[in-house]
Amino acid sequence: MKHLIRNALVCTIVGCIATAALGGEAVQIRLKDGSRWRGEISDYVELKILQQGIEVVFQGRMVAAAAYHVTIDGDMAGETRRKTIFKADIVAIRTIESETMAETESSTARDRTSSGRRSADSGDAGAHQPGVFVLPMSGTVGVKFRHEEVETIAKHADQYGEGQIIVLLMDSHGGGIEMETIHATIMEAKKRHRVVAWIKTAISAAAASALACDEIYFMTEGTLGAMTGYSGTTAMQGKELEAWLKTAGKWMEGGDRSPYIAHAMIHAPRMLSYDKDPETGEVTWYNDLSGEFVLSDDKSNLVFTSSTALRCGFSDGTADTEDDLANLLHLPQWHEIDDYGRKIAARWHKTVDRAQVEIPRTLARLSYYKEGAGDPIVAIGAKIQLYKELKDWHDACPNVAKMRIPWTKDEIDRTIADLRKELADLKKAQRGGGRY
Amino acid sequence: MKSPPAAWLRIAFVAVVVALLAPSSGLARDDGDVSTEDILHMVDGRELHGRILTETKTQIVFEIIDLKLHMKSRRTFRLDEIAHIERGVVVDDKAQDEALSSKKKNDPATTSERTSFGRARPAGDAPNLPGLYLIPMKGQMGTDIHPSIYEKVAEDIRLHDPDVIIIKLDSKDYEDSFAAALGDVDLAELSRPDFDEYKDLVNIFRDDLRDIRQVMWVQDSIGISSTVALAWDELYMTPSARLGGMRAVFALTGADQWSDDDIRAKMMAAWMGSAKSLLEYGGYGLELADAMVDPTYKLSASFKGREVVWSLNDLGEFLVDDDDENTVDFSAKAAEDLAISDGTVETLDDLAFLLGYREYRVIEGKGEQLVENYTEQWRRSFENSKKWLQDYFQHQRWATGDETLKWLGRAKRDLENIIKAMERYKAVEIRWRTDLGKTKLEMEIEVEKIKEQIRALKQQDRGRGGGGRGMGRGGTGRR
Repeated sequence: MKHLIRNALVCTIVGCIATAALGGEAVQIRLKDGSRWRGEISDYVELKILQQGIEVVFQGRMVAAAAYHVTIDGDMAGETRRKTIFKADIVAIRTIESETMAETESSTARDRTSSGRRSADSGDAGAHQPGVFVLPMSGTVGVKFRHEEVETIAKHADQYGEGQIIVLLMDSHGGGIEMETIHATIMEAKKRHRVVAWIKTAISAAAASALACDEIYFMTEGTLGAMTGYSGTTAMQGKELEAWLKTAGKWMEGGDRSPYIAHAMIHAPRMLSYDKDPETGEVTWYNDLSGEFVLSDDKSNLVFTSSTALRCGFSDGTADTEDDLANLLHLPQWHEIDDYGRKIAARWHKTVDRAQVEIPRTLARLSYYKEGAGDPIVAIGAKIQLYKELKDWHDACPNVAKMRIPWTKDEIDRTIADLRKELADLKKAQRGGGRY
Repeated sequence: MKSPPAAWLRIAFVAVVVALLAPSSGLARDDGDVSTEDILHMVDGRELHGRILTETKTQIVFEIIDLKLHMKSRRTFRLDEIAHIERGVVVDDKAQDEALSSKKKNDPATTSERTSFGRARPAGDAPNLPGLYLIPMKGQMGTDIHPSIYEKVAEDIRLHDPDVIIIKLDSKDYEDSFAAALGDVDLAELSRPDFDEYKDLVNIFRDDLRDIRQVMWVQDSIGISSTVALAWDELYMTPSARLGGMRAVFALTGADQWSDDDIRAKMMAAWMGSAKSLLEYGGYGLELADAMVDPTYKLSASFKGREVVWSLNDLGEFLVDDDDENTVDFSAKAAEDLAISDGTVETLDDLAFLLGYREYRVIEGKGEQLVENYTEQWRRSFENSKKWLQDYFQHQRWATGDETLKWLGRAKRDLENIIKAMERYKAVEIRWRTDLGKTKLEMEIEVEKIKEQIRALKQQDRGRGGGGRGMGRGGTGRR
């Protein structure tokens, strides 16, 4: 997914650059009925587009075209605005004369025509456009999915001034209680920046981490929930459970969400339903089944999908691509200020991946030296080297080391000291011609 | 796509045409509605002739009657797809007769015209016809059907820029047979419950290629493939196709095996969420996933016009499943009746017709070949790797005495071959893990152990004064 998103981004950027450089570039759009429209960038067009099942006619000047969307400058709600339209939503498109467009513009808002042109012609707008920082957060919480990267990206964003947008791209099935630290780190970052979660998968501890964000967006396939805490084969009970219900409930409330949602995600007997005012859209939550829409009964755990989260207002919107998300974030277009977040995440993931392969390998190597094969001096020397490698993993990747290495750093140090002594004794014995 | 031999194609076409002509020749006249028709003017410019069967505030069920082709088909249209409707328009009898006569002229039974471009002969150059790109999704979910190969297919799709992608899904955990009912199921060939990979697979099409119209054409789907199928809103089935068979999902994931009620609820909700997330793409009721995956649910349907409202109980107007020990499966007919499927079609011509293409061309992309080659190659590689394992055991046994080094070397090579196969095909690695309980890392460690044995033996040889092989050295063999 990551590389797809990156590819899409590259395409978008390339598309933007190409658009800026090549005014009048040929564009071809295929419609659902198989017909094609051919025209050029800067053509004036009339489009019929489907918006939530309703056909809308829209006129404007095409300023950009990419693989999946076109960008049109046109009149919207009395103002000249730039609109991104997905090709899949276009029902019909035709080229119109610029005069027709000008007439329309002048008849609706004569004094805005020039500003519309200015907007369309300003190809260097991207230089100062608002953008985002993206931090992919995937893998096991507490292993790959950590608070350190959140802290680092927030500090990096600080360099650009307060109020930056940080998108946490979450794809995790959960993990350990590191979530509490992650939650606290996000809360801290939120004091300076707008931190939003974009959910592909956020289950268990990952869901709990996401709750720190005021804005939560889902991908169509996004899921979030199942926050039951457990150890071994037993779920949290008694005081532990009550404490977790209270904490998670507080986190929910912190994001202006009902604590009942957290409860239904933690303990199966906790129920959840809601009513939605058809006029205002206001949602009232119930911790029983009395609401019109039931999300969780007394035997189920709650996991939101994109539509269930959107309907009740838990999700702030559904976005499958960066362009979709840019729209929801009210950005003119998707623009990543830099790829620092992606880089630090990739670097850390690479370290974890190496640790997960190299630690078992090193332990296995140790085991065959223990079997006593080969020259004992060589074997002891090799063992010392292997223990040193394990000790290094405690520094380089403590999360994985803790899980996979059966000894602490101190214990390793002591073992190394023993081996050195053994080695020295052997060498001494050999020099002295003694037996060992 | 491979073309069937011309003779067979002709015979098949004649059979279809004969079958179609027989009931249809009196269709318009015998229905008592001969002289009028309804015309739908679609927003995309199409003009469809036929009859409105039912109508709600949001949808119209319309029987399209094509006089030229003497075909009729039923389609459901949203009102926002229709620009305007003409009702009770008088049909010109002369035009009907002309159409009939034109149809006879074009009939391949009497002419030898090429008919592989759809129901009607192409009027212009073939490249201008709508291009259909067919992709097979066939075999085991998680190995044969794996995102790695469809990423390559997606590249080829982009290259050919088709008008429609048609995915032919044929994946079944078990056959529709008496033997299967008695439990004759190959457990190794069951769907792999890796929803993350299926999300990636769906992303390739539904996100990355979303500007291209896509159709899921289910040939048969028993297992997790059914949730994948439901990621497409345009879904058609062949008459013999099944959709369902997901009873094993919880067993495969182990979600329902937890004894603690809370953990079990958590795990089941998490897995169910993954299954439902795929249905979100297709816009189907999420209750369908509940009933298709969790045997404890019942399922009934109520109808608001053509819209189906699902209930996980037996209180709906139409009871789909009142068994709380089995999951819900759908036949092609049931799926169509319950508006899960948009239609039941046997042939590509029929499907294209229902999609609104009387004429079309099949794009000769690499997709089909890529998928076929991949499946054939990884499976061959997997079979080879199992032989290499046997070779490894044998060579290890032979690694004694003077030939220890020689056979240890061979044994090492056997394992390295297996590792290479795993690296080349993710499917091989998956099947080694699930069928044989061995991971790539374990194999790599095993190779290292052998290397260390070889190193130690060589060192031992050197320590003995570099004596040549076969000099009476004994007892140095391992195992």
